[in-house]
Amino acid sequence: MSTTTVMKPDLEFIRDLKKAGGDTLKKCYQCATCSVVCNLSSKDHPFPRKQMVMSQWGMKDQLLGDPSIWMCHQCMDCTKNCPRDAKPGEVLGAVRAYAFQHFAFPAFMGKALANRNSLPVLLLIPAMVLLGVLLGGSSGDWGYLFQFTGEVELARAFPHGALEMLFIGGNLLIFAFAAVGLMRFWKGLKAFTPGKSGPGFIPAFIAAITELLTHKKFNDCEETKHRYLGHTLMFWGFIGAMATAGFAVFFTIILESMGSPFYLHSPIDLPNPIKILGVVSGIAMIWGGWILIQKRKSEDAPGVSSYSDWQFLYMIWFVGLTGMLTYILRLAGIPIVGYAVYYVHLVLVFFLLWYAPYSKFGHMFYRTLALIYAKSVAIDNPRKK
Amino acid sequence: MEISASGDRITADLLVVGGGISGMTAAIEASEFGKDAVLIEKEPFLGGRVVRMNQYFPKMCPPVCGLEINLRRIRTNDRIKVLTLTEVTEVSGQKGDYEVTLTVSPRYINNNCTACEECEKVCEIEVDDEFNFGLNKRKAVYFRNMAYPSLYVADPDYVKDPKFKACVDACKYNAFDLDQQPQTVTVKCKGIVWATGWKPYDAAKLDNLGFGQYDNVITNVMLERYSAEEGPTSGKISRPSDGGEIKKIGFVQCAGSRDENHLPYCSGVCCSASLKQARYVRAQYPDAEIHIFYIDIRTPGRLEDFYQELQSDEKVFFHRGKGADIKETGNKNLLISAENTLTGELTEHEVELVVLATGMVPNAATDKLPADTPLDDWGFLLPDAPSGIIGAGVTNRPVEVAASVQDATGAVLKALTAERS
Repeated sequence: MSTTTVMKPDLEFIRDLKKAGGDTLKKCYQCATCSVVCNLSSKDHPFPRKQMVMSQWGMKDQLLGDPSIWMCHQCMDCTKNCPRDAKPGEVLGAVRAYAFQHFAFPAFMGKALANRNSLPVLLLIPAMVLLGVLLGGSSGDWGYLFQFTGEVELARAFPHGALEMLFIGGNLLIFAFAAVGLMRFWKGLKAFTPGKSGPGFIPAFIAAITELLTHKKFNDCEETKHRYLGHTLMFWGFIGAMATAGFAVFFTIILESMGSPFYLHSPIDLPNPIKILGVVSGIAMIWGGWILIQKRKSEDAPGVSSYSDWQFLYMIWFVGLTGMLTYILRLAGIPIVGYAVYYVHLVLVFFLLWYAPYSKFGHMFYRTLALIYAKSVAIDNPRKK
Repeated sequence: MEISASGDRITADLLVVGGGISGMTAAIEASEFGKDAVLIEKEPFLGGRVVRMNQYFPKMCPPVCGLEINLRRIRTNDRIKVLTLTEVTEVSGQKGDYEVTLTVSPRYINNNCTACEECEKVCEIEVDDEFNFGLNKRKAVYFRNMAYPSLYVADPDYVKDPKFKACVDACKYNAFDLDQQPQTVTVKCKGIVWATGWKPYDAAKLDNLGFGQYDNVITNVMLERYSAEEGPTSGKISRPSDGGEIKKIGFVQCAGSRDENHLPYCSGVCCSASLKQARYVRAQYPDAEIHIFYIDIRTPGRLEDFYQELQSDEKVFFHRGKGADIKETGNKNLLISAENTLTGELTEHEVELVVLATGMVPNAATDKLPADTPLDDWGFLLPDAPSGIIGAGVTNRPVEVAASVQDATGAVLKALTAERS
């Protein structure tokens, strides 16, 4: 008995993809050069040829439930070799950008992050909150902020306690919201990509995390080799910077409150290993970000970058840059500039963290989950050349 | 019609540039309705690309039989004057009244030549034979099938070579004339048909397909020479690396065609050509497997039957998905990678020989054309050129032999109509 499958193309979805950087998707004529030249493409579950036709047909749910979207690291080997200039790398990037919106909870946050007109408002929120911290922390004496020389007392302007509240409180909320989106995502993966019987969750988890930490897939790219170095530096730089902040809180606030003899006085300075970690991480972020930005901007860049790409890349790069600048200005003893740069740094840090599930930053959650899923159902088996 | 006494002025109705199947047809058609035609060709022989083919599709007959009939019609025709080794240097005037300057390169051999082969036998200078895409060597003095006139020709790069003297000395008929100089000829004519044809796309530009890198990756036009009885292997299809037999052969369609990075257009003939070549292989190796990797099989019109016949052949396998990557294995076999777009799996097929189905590049794209003869982005002649020059065959668009012949017939009428057509 034959069954009839009725295709229901989601036209709105196709339009959104085109807006998000996938405007070339209709050029694809399904030759499958892309799936062959891609070093990350899987033997049993190749991409991006199939994902291109799914985009053309507006198969939204199937596409968002396909881990290939995240196994793609936008090496651009496909885009360079595409005979139709259909830019599969960009189209998959656009699907990822769409996924941040689609899985967003609450939904309006996804829309806000995808829309460049909302950027001022999005920046204003952490800016106002931190201004509140600044105003609430001092007792009417603002003179110290406007000195051209003197000691830069960052903790006086922005007390650690208040920042920790914002950080921990904000993160708890954001992770709860993110979890809603990620659960929807996981459900979609199971529904639309059944895969085969695989090794199970724990081995898949270990394999995925190992691969992410070593950046193996980036290293397999050909057209964009520089991204292995750029992304590795940025990735580990960011982790290092977060760890620095965590150690600092532990040693200066928690140990002090416990009355521990290992308590350190804030600010921690060189040659303390914590500060060394901070400085090295900051430099790594700036260097890595610089590589990524320059290559994306260069004339021979193999692909084009979307708003979602630039927003995230510039934000995280400026976080690194303003962090390092704050440190230098503190050492140089220029309060007026030092406080201003630190303020910008904090605004950008909270922008990144609070909006993480909705911006491109969210790729760390989605890619991790997608890789775990793909490995757990044994479809991440690249045909490494 | 005769060249005037001074040997440098001809008056005719039509000038046909290019002595391939289109140009030969145009000259013959013009003569058959009472017009004088001058047919020029830059090579020393007629037949262009077609004379290098082994068989035509879909009837599978050798092109030489068709060409030789045309050659005889030209030879016995007083209304056609053929100049080989000749190129256009300048066109002036307009439709109805052109004056065209031609340059005739020296052949270094005069009409005393009887094609006795003695000079060639003793010749010690060997060079890559461009006629066979360098698959073999030829001597510095050589004879071509379809040579016009039917004489030997000397390679201009070597006539001054000290070793060349042996060839001259071997000639009993005093047929060498090494003092020949390039000659200028002026043609006054009413119409011009441009039929300079095509060349195969340079497969070495296809990074992932290994041509020029791996011995056993060849192109479709090379396979024609391998298959031709008068070709470098006397018609035996084998591996270039070791002359070995073929158990599996892969055809990679659209090699550089329909590709924004190479030729953006479809040449329209390569699918049928590969199907035809699959039959060559099938005839020589009844047990060999033939694997054809394609995006779409394009066999328009009646050629669909030609395709369907092969589809029912159990030894011919069609793979939908471009052969996009080729790697050599230890034994000089080749691995063709493709995604089977019907099953959605990445596949690898190991074959002894890969044939790249490369497309056609119009010679007009690289050769200098007279003023006011505009080309499209790819080098094909646009219609209604202000110069009044009419294209024929692959000069206009990529087509097969049959369509070229039809196009050439129409071009004659257009070129000899007084108004712009």
